[in-house]
Amino acid sequence: MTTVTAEEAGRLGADSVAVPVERVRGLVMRYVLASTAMFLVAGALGALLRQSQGQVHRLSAAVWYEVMTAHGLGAFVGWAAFALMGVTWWLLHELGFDLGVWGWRWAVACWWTMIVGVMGIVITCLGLGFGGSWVFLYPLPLKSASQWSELAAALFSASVLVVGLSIFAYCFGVLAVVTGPGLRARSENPWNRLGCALGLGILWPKRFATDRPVPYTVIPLTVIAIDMIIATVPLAVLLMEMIVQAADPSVTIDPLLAKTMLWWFGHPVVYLLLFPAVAVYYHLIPRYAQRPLVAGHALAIGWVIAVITNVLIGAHHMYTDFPNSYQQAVNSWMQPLTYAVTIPSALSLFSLGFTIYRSDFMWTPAARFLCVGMVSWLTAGLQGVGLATIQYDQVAHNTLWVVGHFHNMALLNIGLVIFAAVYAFLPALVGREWYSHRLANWHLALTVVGGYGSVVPWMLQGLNGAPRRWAVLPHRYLELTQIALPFVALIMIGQLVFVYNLVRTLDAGPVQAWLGVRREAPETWSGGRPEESAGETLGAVMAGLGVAVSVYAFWFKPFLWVPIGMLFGYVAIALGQRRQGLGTIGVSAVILLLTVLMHAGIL
Amino acid sequence: MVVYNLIYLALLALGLAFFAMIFLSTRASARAKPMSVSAWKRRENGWMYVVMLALLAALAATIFETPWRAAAQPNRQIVDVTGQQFGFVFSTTTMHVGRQVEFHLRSRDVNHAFAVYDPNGVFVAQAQMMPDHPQELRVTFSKPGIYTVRCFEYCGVGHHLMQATFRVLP
Repeated sequence: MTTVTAEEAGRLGADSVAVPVERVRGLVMRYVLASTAMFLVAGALGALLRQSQGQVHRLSAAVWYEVMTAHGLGAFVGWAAFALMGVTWWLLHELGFDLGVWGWRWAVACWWTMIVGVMGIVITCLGLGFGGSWVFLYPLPLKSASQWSELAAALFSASVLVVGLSIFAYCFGVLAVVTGPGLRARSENPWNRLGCALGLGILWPKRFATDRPVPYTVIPLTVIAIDMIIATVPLAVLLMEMIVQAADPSVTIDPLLAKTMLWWFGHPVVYLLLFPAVAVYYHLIPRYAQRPLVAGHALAIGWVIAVITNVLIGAHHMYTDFPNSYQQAVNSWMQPLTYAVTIPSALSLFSLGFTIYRSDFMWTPAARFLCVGMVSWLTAGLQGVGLATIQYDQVAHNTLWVVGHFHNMALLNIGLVIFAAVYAFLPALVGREWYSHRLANWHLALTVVGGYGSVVPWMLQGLNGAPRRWAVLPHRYLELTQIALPFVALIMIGQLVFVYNLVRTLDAGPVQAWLGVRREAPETWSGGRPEESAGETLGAVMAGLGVAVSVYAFWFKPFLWVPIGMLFGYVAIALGQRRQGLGTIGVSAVILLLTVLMHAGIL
Repeated sequence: MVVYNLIYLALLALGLAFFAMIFLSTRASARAKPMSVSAWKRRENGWMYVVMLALLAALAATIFETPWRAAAQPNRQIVDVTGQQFGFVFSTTTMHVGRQVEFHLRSRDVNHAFAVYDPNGVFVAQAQMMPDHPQELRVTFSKPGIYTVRCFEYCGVGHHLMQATFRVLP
């Protein structure tokens, strides 16, 4: 940890006084635990949506769309963005950027506003029946065909506005910290310091001089902090307009302008997830490769391109809107600009890849999560180039292909990075090693197998024209949805494994874990490995669940659910409960045999 | 579409081969060979130019294929379609193979989208239907039969019920 000297504190003002590390640990733990809780809720809602489309237990259309809205915003901002915000503060701390008074205040404000905003979203969706989807395309929130009230629309808009305030707080906090004393910039000019934090010193070292090289990790954080301030302002205006219109219907806004304002925010917010995830890659991959990031001028150029283009490309979500020549021209410009924003991703994958290349790489659980995440970054990034192409988008837009693409990116790249960060940083945050590395590896395997098994059917359905955001899909798409369901179950099992491992690791009672955090915590990961005997209790639970699922399946869709019961049994074996797991598989096999005999008319 | 998907799969295979090479290179036997960090930093510049050229090539190959560049033919048939929660209203539901159809799309309430599927369920074309901003979509159908239209922009609780059909005659 780097502390601010008395001389610097005097020069830069009292705001730059270092925050004690115990308080930073406690704050970051609050982010980790709250975002994990939101992840579990939002993930369960997602599974509920998919099983309904698979016609296991069909939800009513109204409930399905409410759940869809809560799932989308809950997973996107309540989990992924929120978790990465917390990770950001710890990254900056490890890089020697103390939060300082203002950084601390913004970080605390960010946490509280996110909690309030997400709670408001969940309540307005699941309690007041708001189901306008997470993009809430104007004027749908105020023209619901009597499905929800104007009050629900106003409260929902206010809740999203509070989430927007959280994003502002994050951005201001990041900018306060990265331009603070930890930067070691020679100039006191705030614009020059901002240029240093953007990595311009790599390109112009004399003009943007610092007493130490600016870590590459800081650059994507600075880029997204600048861009999200620019991107969030129009959304805030739109949300306020909707609140006013809910009270006074005579106040309206042009729908095309509203859509532009939404997507002006709606695409950069994707990078509110991706860029901090890139920062985690830049920070952790060199640690595990035991060498500095292999990066030079090109990567710095890539981020200069990103900071400019990121806020300009939202209209690529509007390729199917071409009512006038102006919008057509805007759409045409979106394609090259969107292509440009892929350049930092391509360069980052190159840098990260050759940082690992022929290194004495430490294959810890966190490192494995990162490496699989990089592969997903490639698979999803290439899909993104396709979607950025107008000709391709005309066929893929608003199909399930898009849903597959962003789950590929959000769950299997960014999500894995979040887990990697939790696995990497938790020992330093709570002062103890993970309960089990083996369970962490199982978490990865189940999430990845389940994730791709869930994503690929979406993409295949999308290529066949399956529409997204349909509570009930046309019948021709049912089979692939049902094939995906066992994989969704695998994802859920993986997260149960993660939660079990987390709870056993914290093992200090929820209150103490929430408040953080032991004062004797070590500064960094000690590198030791815990006992590998974990999982028996969880294995027994899995075996029991497997029997319950298979028995239930005897009456309801056995060919779908009995294999899932068997999967539970297999996981139980993998977790050390061999006898119970084999018993579960045996019971499932008997039920499957009975079902086959009944279908064949023999019984 | 098929060409796009084949290109995607080819690039994906190359990328997976790259990662396989990277990850396998961390084995002790592969680490024995020297690795120059500074050399790979320089090569990153070359990689940047490769990426930029590839993107420029993709742009040149595709940017002129946009739906708004489809020229209007003099004998085209004009069909008015209005979207409303939760259905489509057509001025006519009979069209002809080989004769360009210009759909005039508008919405009476919220955002909808007009997505057309051919008689085999294959996706044909789509465009948004926005309140206050009518737009045109030009399509020439090559197969006779019953075509299906589905709403492709979420429009409320009956979104998945918003479907219609029209007939294309030989």
